[in-house]
Amino acid sequence: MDVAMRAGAAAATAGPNHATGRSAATRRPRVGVVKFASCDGCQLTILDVEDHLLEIAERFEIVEFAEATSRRSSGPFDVLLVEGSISTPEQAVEIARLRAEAKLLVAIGACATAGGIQALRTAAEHEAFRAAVYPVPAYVDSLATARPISEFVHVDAELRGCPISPEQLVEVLVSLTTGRRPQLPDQAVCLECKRRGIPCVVVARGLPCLGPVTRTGCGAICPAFGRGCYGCFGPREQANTAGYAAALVWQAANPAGDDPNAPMPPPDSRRPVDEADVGRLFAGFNGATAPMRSITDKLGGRPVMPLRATLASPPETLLGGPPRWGAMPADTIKSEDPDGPRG
Amino acid sequence: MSSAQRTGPGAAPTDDPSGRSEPVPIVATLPPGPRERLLALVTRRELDAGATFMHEGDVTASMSIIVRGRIALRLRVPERGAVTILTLDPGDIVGWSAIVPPYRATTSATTLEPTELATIAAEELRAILTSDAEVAAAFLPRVMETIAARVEATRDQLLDLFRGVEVDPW
Amino acid sequence: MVIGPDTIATTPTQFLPRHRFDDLVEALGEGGRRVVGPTIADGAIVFADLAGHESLPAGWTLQTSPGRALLERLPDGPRESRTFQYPVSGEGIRRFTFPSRVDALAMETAEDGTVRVRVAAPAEPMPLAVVGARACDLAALAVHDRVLVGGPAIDPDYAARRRDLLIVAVECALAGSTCFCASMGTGPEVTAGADLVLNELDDGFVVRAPTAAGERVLATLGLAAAGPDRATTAAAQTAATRAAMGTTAIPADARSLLLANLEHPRWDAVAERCIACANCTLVCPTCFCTGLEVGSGFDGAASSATRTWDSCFTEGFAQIAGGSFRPRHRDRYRQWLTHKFATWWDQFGTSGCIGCGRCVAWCPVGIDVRAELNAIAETAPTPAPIAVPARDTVEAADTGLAPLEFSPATVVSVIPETADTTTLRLATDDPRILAGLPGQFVMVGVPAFAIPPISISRFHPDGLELTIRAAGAATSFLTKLRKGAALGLRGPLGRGWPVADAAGRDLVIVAGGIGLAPLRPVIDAVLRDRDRYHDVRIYLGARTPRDRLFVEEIDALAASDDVLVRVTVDRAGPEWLGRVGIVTQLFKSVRGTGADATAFICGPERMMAATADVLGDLGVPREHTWVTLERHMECGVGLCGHCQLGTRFVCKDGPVFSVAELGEDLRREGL
Repeated sequence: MDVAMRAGAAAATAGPNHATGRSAATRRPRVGVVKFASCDGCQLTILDVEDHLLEIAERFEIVEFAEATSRRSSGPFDVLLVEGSISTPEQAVEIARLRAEAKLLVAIGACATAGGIQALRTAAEHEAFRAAVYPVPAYVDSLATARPISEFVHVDAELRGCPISPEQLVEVLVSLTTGRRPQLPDQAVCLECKRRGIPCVVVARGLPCLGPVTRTGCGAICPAFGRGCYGCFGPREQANTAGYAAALVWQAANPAGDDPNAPMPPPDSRRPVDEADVGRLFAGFNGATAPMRSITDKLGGRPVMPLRATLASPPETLLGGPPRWGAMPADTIKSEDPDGPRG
Repeated sequence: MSSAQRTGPGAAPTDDPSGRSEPVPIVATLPPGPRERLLALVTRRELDAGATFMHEGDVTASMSIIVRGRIALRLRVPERGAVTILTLDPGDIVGWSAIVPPYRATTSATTLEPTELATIAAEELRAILTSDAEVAAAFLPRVMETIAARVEATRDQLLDLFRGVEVDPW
Repeated sequence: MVIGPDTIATTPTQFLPRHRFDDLVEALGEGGRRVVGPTIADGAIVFADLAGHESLPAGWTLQTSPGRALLERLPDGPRESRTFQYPVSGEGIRRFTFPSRVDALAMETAEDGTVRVRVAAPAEPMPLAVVGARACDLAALAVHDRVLVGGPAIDPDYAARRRDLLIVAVECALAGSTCFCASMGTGPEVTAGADLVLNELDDGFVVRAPTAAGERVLATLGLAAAGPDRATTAAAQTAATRAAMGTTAIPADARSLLLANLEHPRWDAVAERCIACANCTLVCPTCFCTGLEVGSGFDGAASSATRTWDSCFTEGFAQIAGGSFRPRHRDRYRQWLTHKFATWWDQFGTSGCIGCGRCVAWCPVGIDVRAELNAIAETAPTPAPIAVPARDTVEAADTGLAPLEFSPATVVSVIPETADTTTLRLATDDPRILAGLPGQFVMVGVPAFAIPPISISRFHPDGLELTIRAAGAATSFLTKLRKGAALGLRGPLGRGWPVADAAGRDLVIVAGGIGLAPLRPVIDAVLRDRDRYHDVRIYLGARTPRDRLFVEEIDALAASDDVLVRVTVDRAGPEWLGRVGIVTQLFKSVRGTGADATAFICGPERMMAATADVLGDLGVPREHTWVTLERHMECGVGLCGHCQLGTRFVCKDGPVFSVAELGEDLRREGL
């Protein structure tokens, strides 16, 4: 039933959603997008909100977004979207500086909110692969582990995911302009699967799926394609990973019979066959978070990096200091003249 | 309090203008022997409104039982000044620190209206409680009850149940 | 326990040969009706458009056990080409009558400030025929009929979808290990709710038409009679299914068992395994809890609210600004199981469980409700039967409400009360709202925001007042509205304070913090008719002197002779000469008996419980002591399921309750 309501003569209501158009006196919020140790995927997702991009550009002033614009700014920001984990001492200093410049700091993506997959490294392993990869490991200065933003500065909001969901990003931006609370439900992926009508891959196919202990937001993409959830949105509130892992271990020990005639595509995720397999399931993009790590610690399955033999000794030409950017090491090495050009 | 107040079941106690004849709360309910011996140590004091008779941190001079009036217990909080954490009514004890080491006042006490106190000097009270087992056995449990009730009530104050909630930045 | 719109008469059976099944599908599709039935997709059996016999899961069965529902080829033999030789599929037919996402509300603000709040017109559902519903699915549909269209509030979308639905049921030829409909009295025989009933034999289907609509379909097919042999085979098949399940899967009188064991250690045990993933609630065909997802554009001038499947297992389900009422998985599992098997009876006069066993099969960790109930029964004494209380059936017409509609209101003035609380005086000419009672509340709608319930803090001949504390984004926004703003109100809702109960008695009013707001209309009513009440005492608590509400009014009241007013705060500066301490200090030493008193209490629950205790010690009878509860509400009319406390919907059975009727539930943790 249509109910039309008339406001009083002076329809003056507070709140941005009753403003008609942009008034000259109201400035657009300044938005920055920055990145630390990450793959850039979350920033790409920001560009992915195609339908809304134009309106976003109208309502927000994007002052720093290296991937999208050459305009640069070091602050101040009304909203700062931060991608990536803190992995080096310089980054730790920079995030503190940025926090002071930002009214609202939103950590986006699994790296920024949980450390990312790189957070699975330990200090000892890091030593070992630095030595294997870099001729002069001392030139590579990293923190012992990659850490989420919230371990360094106060974070006002989080967008989980690997990458984040464009719909959730728009929801956060809409909540900023309207003043309402963004709806980022902390529920299991299972709710989304069921709402969409996707049959549960755990129950119907015995596939490993982290959905029950993972926060929704992705729209249950992976189960929609017949594979288990990777857990890329991170553990949901009070995720009972211990209880779930116990059930998965039982499933591994009591495999259901596979009917060769079953009308479904062969699963591309291997069903866990032992405890370490189950543990490996939890060592993913959010594997460094406590609920996930507690399982891998207990059951095993942490990924172990196979390392090639380390370089016996660094090339002589690099012993004098780090190469300047733009150096052509191959040419330099080939040069007969040890004092030859380096740039 | 208005004299035109309706009284009926559940009415609050009204003031008795001739306070002198009012019995001393708590002490009046003790068995006869201890009651007489304690009453012998009691002095009645009348205080105007706004009188501070106990200072936080000072040696406690006496323990008092409120006969009439209202007392505010206050703590000194440097950034905030004096904060009233509790008010006491007739029947309440002020200055239990008189009998608990180190015998120093843990709060200040100020009258909010004309008040009558039944006071026992701290040293005399400690002496009789040490020497007179019957008085101690009768009086101390009553003191404990009062203090325990106060602790319980303070816990609910501590919960800050009427506190508002923090609202998100947007 | 099964109810249905039709009675099943013993109709003569006919026989549909297998090769003519497509004719049935065509007949069902007459007039453009959409026909859906079971098909195989994504490794499971799902209901989708049925082209004909070829779409059915021929030759397949489903092996169900706790945590598993696996497709398997039928073994070689006479039944190998059957198409319904499986127990219940993961999804029943709920999606067709109760879709997971449905438009519920549309709100928009025009340029000139007018606000339109529209209850979304129910979808124009295509006429639908559902093939393959089982007896348990029909029992679930009957339960949903009671919940969603049984009054007083009716879900318009469900009502519309239910109207033109043709159901072709199938009597189960086998039972899964997770099935227990026979124990719940809901199957496997189809006794109500279907237009056509099929019994599958190897070479075709025995079919009967219990309704006129079913008869019309059959008439077009011109089938031969089934004959006594086939009819007997069909009946025997169903009987064998029944025998395979047994009838004692769960303890007798599960309701009394659960209500008597709300603190049983089994709840903690199951909580270790339960991962609160909500799968059980989402496969359960009787679950009805929904939430409202609000979406809007960047300017917030327009917004829509979508009714979405929700679950009592989520954190947000029982959450209000101060926290969650069911923080632990233990609390949520207990809520689900006791609602399904116990409190559903109190609410709807029927069991919530219809024995389909889906929750057992589709639980990723394989928790079996039958095992849980039996475990409690084995370790607890046999409970005395707890009778289901008689319910007043409230017809939608009785209330005179169209409960879902929003009514216009305009802000006439704004009165700041404290740092975080504001009173809005609103003008409205809706006679229903103006006739509201002290203690009732309204749902307040503004575009782009969630819709909070707010107690009415005063009535006027031309409007009302709402005293709002900024506790979240929506309430913060409301506290910042200015004169002339428009909003929508749904109400008045709930059961208010029984002011008449205090007539001829003493009246004690105890309010803590914002709790004074819902009590102010009581004070107004009492002052208008002072002689009806004897001693009237008002005891108020606040955080600090600056957090007191309605200060001038209360001071004036305290100075008058009409009532006794005592105020205390939790702490104060030296300028405050009043009392400092918890509110119960104000009256715990009152002399005299409270036997002739009625008490109304409002504040944080802990404060209300403590106050009720002290008043009880003073002799105030529990049947005359009333409190008002706050719970998470999305609809305010008893359809969304969020606000439940044990047997009660706080929105429609409350929010005012007597301490006597609440009993232990007022203090039970995590209920």
